Amino acid sequence: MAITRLLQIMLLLCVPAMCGLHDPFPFGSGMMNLGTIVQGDDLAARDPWTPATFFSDSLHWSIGAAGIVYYDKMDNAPAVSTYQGGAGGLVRIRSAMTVKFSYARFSSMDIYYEDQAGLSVASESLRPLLFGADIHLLRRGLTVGEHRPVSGIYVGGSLFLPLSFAAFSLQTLHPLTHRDQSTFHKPPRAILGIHSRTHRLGAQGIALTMTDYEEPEFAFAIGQRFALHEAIAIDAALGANPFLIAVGLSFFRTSGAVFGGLVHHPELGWSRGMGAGWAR
Amino acid sequence: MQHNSLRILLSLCFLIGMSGNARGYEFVSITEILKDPVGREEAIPGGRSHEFIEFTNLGTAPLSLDSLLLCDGVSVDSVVQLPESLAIHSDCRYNASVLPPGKTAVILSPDYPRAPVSSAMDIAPGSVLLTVNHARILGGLARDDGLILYKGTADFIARGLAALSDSATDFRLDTDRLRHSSPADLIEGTSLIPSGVMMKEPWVPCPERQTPGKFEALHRSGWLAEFKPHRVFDSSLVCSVAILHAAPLPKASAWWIETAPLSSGSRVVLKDEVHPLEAPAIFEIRLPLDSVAYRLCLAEAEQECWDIDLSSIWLPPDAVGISELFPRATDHVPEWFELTNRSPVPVDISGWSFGTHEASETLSTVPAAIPPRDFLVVTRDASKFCAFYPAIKEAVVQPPRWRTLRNTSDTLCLWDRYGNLVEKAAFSSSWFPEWTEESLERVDFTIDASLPGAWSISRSPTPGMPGTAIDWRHVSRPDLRIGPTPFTPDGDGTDDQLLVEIKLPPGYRAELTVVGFDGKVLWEFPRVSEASYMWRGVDMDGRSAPPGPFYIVADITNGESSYRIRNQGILWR
Repeated sequence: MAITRLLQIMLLLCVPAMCGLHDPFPFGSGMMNLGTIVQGDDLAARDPWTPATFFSDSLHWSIGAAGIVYYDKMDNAPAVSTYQGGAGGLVRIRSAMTVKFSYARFSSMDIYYEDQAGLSVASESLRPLLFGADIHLLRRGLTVGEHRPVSGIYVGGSLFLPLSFAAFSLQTLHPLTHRDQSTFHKPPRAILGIHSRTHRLGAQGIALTMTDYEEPEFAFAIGQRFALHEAIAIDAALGANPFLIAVGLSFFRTSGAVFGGLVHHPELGWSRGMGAGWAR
Repeated sequence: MQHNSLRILLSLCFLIGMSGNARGYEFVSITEILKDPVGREEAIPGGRSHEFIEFTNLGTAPLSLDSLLLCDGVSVDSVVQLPESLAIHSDCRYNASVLPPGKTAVILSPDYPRAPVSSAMDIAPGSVLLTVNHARILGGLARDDGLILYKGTADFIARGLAALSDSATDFRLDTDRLRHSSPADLIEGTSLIPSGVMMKEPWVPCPERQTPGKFEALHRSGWLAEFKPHRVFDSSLVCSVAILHAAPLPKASAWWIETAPLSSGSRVVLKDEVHPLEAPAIFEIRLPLDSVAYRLCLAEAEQECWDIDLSSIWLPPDAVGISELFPRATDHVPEWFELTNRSPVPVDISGWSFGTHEASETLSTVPAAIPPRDFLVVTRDASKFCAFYPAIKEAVVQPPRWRTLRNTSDTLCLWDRYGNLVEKAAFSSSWFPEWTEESLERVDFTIDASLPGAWSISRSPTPGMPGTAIDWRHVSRPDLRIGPTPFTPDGDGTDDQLLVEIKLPPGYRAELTVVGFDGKVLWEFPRVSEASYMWRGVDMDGRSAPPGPFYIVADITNGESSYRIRNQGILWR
């Protein structure tokens, strides 16, 4: 009970000041549908890079790994890429709390890197409402020159309300501490999502992202999942600001799943990603 | 045979004003005349006081100034000494009885001493000043008056010295007035000078308006050389050369050579011997047409040299082109266009014309040479243009009449003095939607100047000098470069701005944007019209761009085809 109280307080503290990282689309399986499809018991819910709040299955643990190569080869640097790879997992504690942990490494042109470790905790004490808090440790740096790496902490909160026909979600992220304000100046971010239950037409979802309070910018994504078979699904999504087209294919069973996705940006080209997970 | 014929023909030209003897020869030439001074015809200063005739002793013996007369066919004036010295011209010579070889005399109007000092002409020091015995020179010089200078009396020509006439002169005192036409567009206050005295060449307006007492073509050492290209024959240009020395020379031979300044040094292409002791030496030479600039040098005269201008009869292919257009005049800058000489030979564009097939105007009536690999600006108003671009006033020509360039679209043709079309340029505002007040710069001379691909907007007009666009437009395919990487806009003075360099073939257009890693546009440059741009690491709202990867995207179009070049950079703070 005390833990639940603590999480509630953290969430309240986090909501007024939100921010996000720079990824153009969600890392992990969320790239297939731009984060619009969340079922509570599916691949996205198990994904280490979604808030623990989104997970509402009866599984005890899960592990997963994913990687994305961002955009096409650039004309001035055809031999180097911008990529991100990561791994993580989740653990359910006494069927009342879910803890997710993750680590990801981002690299661009072999010059710039980001290391990010995340911890997400969710409580089911107010079912059907799930709520939780996230903390991310970030370290950026250059592999050339004498520039000192910069570290920072991001915190966030999330809500997930699964109803009979759909689920509503809210997630936030905000830089809490940092050594160099100019390095972590990215404005707060909040994402509001509505995610339908799977039905005979598949599953649908939308996500509305608001960035910055003072001069807010909005981004919108709409996604669709087609279940070709109980073990195969195709995801597709459209995003605005920036305009993105995402498609993905996933294979899953009760305890394991793999996916591959493509996201197209009209000017920067295709991003390719894939991942796998295992759960019991 | 041709050589001999030419020599005879040219020798006949010297019968006027030139007679030889065993000890040298007498050769006097009228070398400048001002018939239409600034001001009213009867005013002082004006036509009554500022007319003058200049003549030069180009012979080897002093010319006696006794019994010297002027005649225009009707009136006769005695050339006499000025009654008194002029304080304003204290360095000139008065009461001279002879005109030494190589020296110049100026016959002034009798009323010139009465003119205000402020209107005094800039007479070259050392000139012999003379006047006539009547109120005005030959009763006042009209624009089409000719004259003869002779020895004798009012009724008798003992010896003709020099003539100024449209027709062959037999030095007769006749009742018909001699005619010598002036160019119709001769500007008031501009004198006429001969473009050649040994070979009968037309008279042209003096490029410096007037230079009394100074015969520019004569070197200070007394050497004078003239050239006359004739025709192209057997891959050579046949040229006549005449050389004299306006004073006795020691009896020695003088070698003359033609050299071509090449990158490896000068190359002697011809070598011969001249004897300008008893008469001007006249030669026919054949210069190979190998696109080099020729010079004639006298080896035994301390390397006296003259540039040979072949452009009046032959030019290397595509030697002259229109390289920049400024049809949209502003309050401070009149319309202008720029010519470039891309050949290694100087090109004289006097007598050339410009305009359209329906209406053309003379480019320049005075000699105006474009040096090799150099530029010349042609403008409606030279003084206004030079006030704005003072550094290039030496390379500016104002045609006698201007043909206005239309602002939206127009065609501009260029013809040589023989009417051959040299260049046809065209432009249209539809080719450049973003065109406002800029000049249009030629970026490709390999394609027709009437095609849009030949031109580009020049953000900074460059009259009289190489354009800025040609460096980044004269490429066969687009290129995009950025740097430094990483780029650190943190205000420490190091790598604070990102340099974006782009190269586009003619006719290609591009738009540059900076896209963040999150896929959103951070910065949009204006439509590409320059070779390089700087980005300060901020977005369009002035906010700092996030650290990490970013992308410079060039969307390039060429007609209906389009493609994209992308560069990636790293921003770090």
